[in-house]
Amino acid sequence: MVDSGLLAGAVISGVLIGIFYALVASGFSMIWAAMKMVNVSHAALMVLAAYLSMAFVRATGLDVFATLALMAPAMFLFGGLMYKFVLSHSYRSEDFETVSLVSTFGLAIVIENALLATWGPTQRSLPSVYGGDVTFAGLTVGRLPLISGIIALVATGILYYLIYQTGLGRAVRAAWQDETLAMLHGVNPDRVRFIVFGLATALAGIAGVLLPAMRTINPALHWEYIVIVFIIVIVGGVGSIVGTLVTGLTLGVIEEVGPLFISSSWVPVVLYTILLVFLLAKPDGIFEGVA
Amino acid sequence: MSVADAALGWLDNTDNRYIGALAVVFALALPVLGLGSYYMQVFINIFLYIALVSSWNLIGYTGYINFGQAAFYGLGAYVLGYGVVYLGLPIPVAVVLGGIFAAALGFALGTITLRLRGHYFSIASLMLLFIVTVLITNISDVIPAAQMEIWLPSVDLSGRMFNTVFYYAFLGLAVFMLLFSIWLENTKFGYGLKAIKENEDIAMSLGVPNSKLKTWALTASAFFAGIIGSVHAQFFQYIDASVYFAVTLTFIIVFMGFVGSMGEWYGPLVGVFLFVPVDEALTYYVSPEFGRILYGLLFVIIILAIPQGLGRYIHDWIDEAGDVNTSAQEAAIDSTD
Repeated sequence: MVDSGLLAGAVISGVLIGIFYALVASGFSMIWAAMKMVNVSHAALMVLAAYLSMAFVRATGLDVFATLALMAPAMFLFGGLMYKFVLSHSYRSEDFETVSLVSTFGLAIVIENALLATWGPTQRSLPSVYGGDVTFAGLTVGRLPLISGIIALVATGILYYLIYQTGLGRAVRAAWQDETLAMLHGVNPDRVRFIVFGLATALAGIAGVLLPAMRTINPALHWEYIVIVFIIVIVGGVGSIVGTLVTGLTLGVIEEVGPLFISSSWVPVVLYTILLVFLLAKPDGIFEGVA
Repeated sequence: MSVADAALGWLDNTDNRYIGALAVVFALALPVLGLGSYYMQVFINIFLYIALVSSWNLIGYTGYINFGQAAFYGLGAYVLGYGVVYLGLPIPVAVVLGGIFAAALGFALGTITLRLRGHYFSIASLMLLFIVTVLITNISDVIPAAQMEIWLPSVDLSGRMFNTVFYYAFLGLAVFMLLFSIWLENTKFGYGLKAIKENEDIAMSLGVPNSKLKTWALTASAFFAGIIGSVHAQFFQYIDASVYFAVTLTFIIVFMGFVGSMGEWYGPLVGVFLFVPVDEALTYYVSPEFGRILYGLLFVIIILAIPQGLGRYIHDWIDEAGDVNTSAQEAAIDSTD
C-alpha cells in the first residue's frame, strides 16, 4: 500500500497543479464557447508570456506580483490586437470554425519559432525568491506551487465574477447564446470577441508568469499544454467554468497521484483514454456550458 | 464508372497538359548522371514531400484538414525499423506492414472522429500525433527490447548508388501518388469525396455515404503515408520520434497541401515547389526558425485571403486566360447593360 503521507502530498500537489491547469484551460474554454474558435495558439501565448516575464524579471529584478500586474494588461492588449488584425477575418468565412482553428495553428507555429529564434531551444528556468516549503496541518507544500495555486484561484474567481456579475459579462453571455438576438439588444459581437480574446489571453499571460517558477520552460512546451487544455475542455464541457475547474483538478491529481500506483509513463495513456472515451460518447463534456 | 471510362475521362480532360508536363519532367529526371549529391538529396526531399502531401490530400478531398499525417508516416517508419531490426523481416514485408499498421491507425482515427464536425477532426488528428509520440517514447515499458531510437544496419552500396536508388524510389512514389489522385478524382468514390467538400449535409441527403467515404479516404491516406515512411526509414537509416513525429513536419505537410490547394491533384506539386526551394534558401542564408515564422504567417494569410489555396487560384487564372471567349462574352454582356 502507498504511504498515506506520500499520498496526501501527491493529492495536494495535484490540486495545486490542477488549479493551474484550470487557469490555462479557462481562457481556452471561454474563447471556444463565446467565439466558437478553437484557439490552438492559447498555450503558445502562455509560453510567450513566460519568456517575456522571465526577461523582464532578469532585467528589472522585480518580483512575480509586479510582473503579473504588468503582464496581464499587456497580454490583454496583445490578444485583443491579435484578434483585431488577424483572427477577426476568419469570421467572414462560412467555415469559420475550421478557418480559425487552422489560423491559430499557424500563429502558434509563428510564436514558437519567434521564441526559438530569440531565446534558443534550451530549457530555461527562473530561480525564485519564493522557494522552499510551507508546512501546516502536518502537510508540507512547496511555497511556490501554493502561491501559484492561490493566484490561479483568484484569477479564476475574478473571471467568474466578470462573466456572471457584470454588465460586460452579461453581454458576453448574451452573444454566447444567441448572437443575432444579442445584436438586437445592442451588443456588438466584434467588440465582445475582442474583449473575450483579450481576457482569455490575459489569463494565459498570468499562467505564463507563474510557469517559469514551476518548471523549466522551452519554446516547444505549448504543445504539451494545449493537449492538457483540450482534454480538460472536452471532458469538462466547453464554456463551463465549474467544469474546467473540476476537470483541471482531477487531471492534476491523476497526474500526481498516478505515478504512485502505475508507472509514470502510463499516466498520459490514462488521460488520452479518457479523452477518447469522451470524444466517442460525450463530446459535449460533463458540465453544461453557460446557461 | 469502369476503369476504361475513368481513363478516357482524364485523357479528355484539359488537365492532360499538366500530365504531359509530368511526363516531360519524368523524362528529364532520367539523366541523373550529372546530378551532384546535394541536389539529388534536394530532389529526394521534393519527391518525398510530393508523395507525402498527396497522401495527405486524399482526406483533403473531403475538405477535412488532417494535422496528424506525420503520425501515419512515422508509424510506417517505426514498423519497418522494428520489423527489420528486431524481427528480421524481409524489407518488402516490413514496408507493407508499415502501410497496414498506419492504415489501421487511420481507420481507428476515422471511426472515432469523422462523425464529428470538421474542426473536431482537425484537432483530434493533432492530438493523435502527440498520443502516438508518447506511446512510442514509452514503448520500452511494453516491449522491453524495443527502443525509441532505431538504427538500421548499413547497406552495402556506394554513397552515390544509394542516393540514386532512393532518388528513383521516391520519384516513383511521387508519380504514383499523383497518378493515383488523378485516377481517384474521376471515380464515384472521388466524386463522393468532392461532394462532401462542397456541402456535407446536401451530400448526405443525396445519398452519399459520408462516414464510410471519409473513413476509407483517411485509411487510404494513412496507408500511403505509412508506406512512404517505411521507405524513407530505409533511406534515412535512423528512426526517432523527433524526426518522424515532429510537429514541424506535420505542419509543413499541411502548409504545402493547403497552400497548394486541398482537393486538387496538382495541389501537392504547387505546394512542394513553393516550399522546398525557399526553405532550402532560408535555412542556408538565414535560419530554419525564420523560415518557419514566414511559413506560419504565410499560412495564416493564405487561409484568410485565398482559402481555396494558391494552386486553384493559379489554375483558375490559367483556365480563364486560355478561355478565348471570356473577354468577348464579357464585352457582349457589358454592351447590353
